[in-house]
Amino acid sequence: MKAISRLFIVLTIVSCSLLGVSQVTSPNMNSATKMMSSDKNLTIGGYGQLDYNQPFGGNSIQNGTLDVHRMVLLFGYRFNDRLNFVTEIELEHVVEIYVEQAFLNYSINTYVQVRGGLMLVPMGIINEYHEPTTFNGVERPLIDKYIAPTTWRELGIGFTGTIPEVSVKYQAYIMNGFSSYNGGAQLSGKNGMRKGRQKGAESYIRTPVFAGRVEYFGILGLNVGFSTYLGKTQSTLFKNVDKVDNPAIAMADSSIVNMSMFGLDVQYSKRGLQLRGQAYYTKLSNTLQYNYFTSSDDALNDLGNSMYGYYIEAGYNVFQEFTKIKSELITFVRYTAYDTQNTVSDGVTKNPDYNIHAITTGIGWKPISAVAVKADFQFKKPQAASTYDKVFNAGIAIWF
Amino acid sequence: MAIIAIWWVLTGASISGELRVPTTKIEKSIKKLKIGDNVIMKSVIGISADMSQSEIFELQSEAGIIGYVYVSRLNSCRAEGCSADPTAKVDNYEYFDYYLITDQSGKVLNVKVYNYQATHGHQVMSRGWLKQFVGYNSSQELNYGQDIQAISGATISARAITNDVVRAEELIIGIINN
Repeated sequence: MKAISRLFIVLTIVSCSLLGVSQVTSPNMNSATKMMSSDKNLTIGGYGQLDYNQPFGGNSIQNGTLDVHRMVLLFGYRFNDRLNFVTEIELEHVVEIYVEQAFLNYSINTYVQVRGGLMLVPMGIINEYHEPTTFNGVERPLIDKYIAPTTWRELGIGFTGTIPEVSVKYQAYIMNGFSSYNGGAQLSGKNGMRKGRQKGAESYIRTPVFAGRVEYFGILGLNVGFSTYLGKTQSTLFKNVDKVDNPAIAMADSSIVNMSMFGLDVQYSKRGLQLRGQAYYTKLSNTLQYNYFTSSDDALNDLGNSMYGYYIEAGYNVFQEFTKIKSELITFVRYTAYDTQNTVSDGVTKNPDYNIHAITTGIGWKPISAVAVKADFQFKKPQAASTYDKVFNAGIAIWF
Repeated sequence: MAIIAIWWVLTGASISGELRVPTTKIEKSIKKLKIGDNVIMKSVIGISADMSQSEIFELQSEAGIIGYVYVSRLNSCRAEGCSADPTAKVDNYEYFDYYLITDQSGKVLNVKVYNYQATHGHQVMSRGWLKQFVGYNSSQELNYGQDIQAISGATISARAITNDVVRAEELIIGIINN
């Protein structure tokens, strides 16, 4: 009997955690739920994204995929009025476990907060607001995969705050950068910077990068953001190199690149209308040396000298004018263009397949703001190609 | 780092668990609104509502009562990272403080967020967004998402302030009618 009641308490704790029930006020609470709800400083939350992707068209048979793309549990703990700890534990594709965020926030006042730990790089809209109920479409925008590699996070420290008098929010962090070499090339024309994310997992650092973002939100319905990221990539080749061993240092220098990335985003909403635009530009240097150094089988690596990506999107909540309907039905269309080889170093031939154009259009139904059921079509092709790759996507998104 | 340390010591008293009334800021706002000279703020007591996280002041000048100020602490959250139960105790949440000023009839003249301690949802501090409340009186509807434009990414803070302005208005009208 004792064992069964213990099991019941454990199950209650687990289910309460999963359901985000940190506020149970029923008089019939058992001791476990009481214990949970009496800890006033703990916040439990999370988000999930379940996807169905079905390519169609063309001459070949194609399987669809069904994926528990992301399940993330959030824990926030407030030690006192000034000190917060926030962490997100992510299960990706069911089997991969990551820590998405884990930082301590020390609030001096509204204007200045000091933050340190595993943090999201403040670049663009999606990397920070990546919860799937906040964006249109089943999958994140393409440029937030190939140009800004979301969810992009590294360890670092810095300041953030809001200046309400001028409606400006800022973030300025010193963080760890991408890895460009770890026994092999991490960066390429095909994947851009994406494979270089260290994600705070036994990451190595020699020179930190600067990441900053400023947002202006003073006009009704408008939010404009400018992000910047400046610094060098990291390489394992610097490990234990003698300070006077110039050939070894030169070799290690060839395994890193300098990176400057800029992002501009604009969001505007008025009644049911939602407009969004995002542009990224990444400038890389030392790519000639890097592409030579990381060539394999006499073929040069093909990391570009610069990359760009942008999208523009318009959405409309069809239910906006029906005041009796509390749910939202959002239709949207998005045009995307990006190129991971906008320009290339000498010796590298531009691959036209990396210059992509895409149109995504679909609907999302939100019975409440924390839940979205979405479906869309995505038409994607290299600029030079004549036919589009077509995919139908459907998904469930939750956020609590 | 030393500057930060000094700042921290100097501003140390400005953040505490209790709602703090920003008298100087309110005085500045009253001056800007030009609703009267030599205005005195007098706390209204004996309100039959839960006033543990809010406070109401009468604004008095030589001409008599010229308006009201309502100061309140509201729940926010890490975006939508926790249940939005407006009756829940604030200490479970991240929070922010704001005040609103009305004229003697209860019509809203100014709304300002003066202390924001939440990690997300800063857009509720937008002057442009807060201007939507100016002119509001209790005879009007005030629905979030309809009369007040929604802010994506700041849903809880924005909804909380919208609902609380309605509450403030009800309390002030109650005082006026008494």
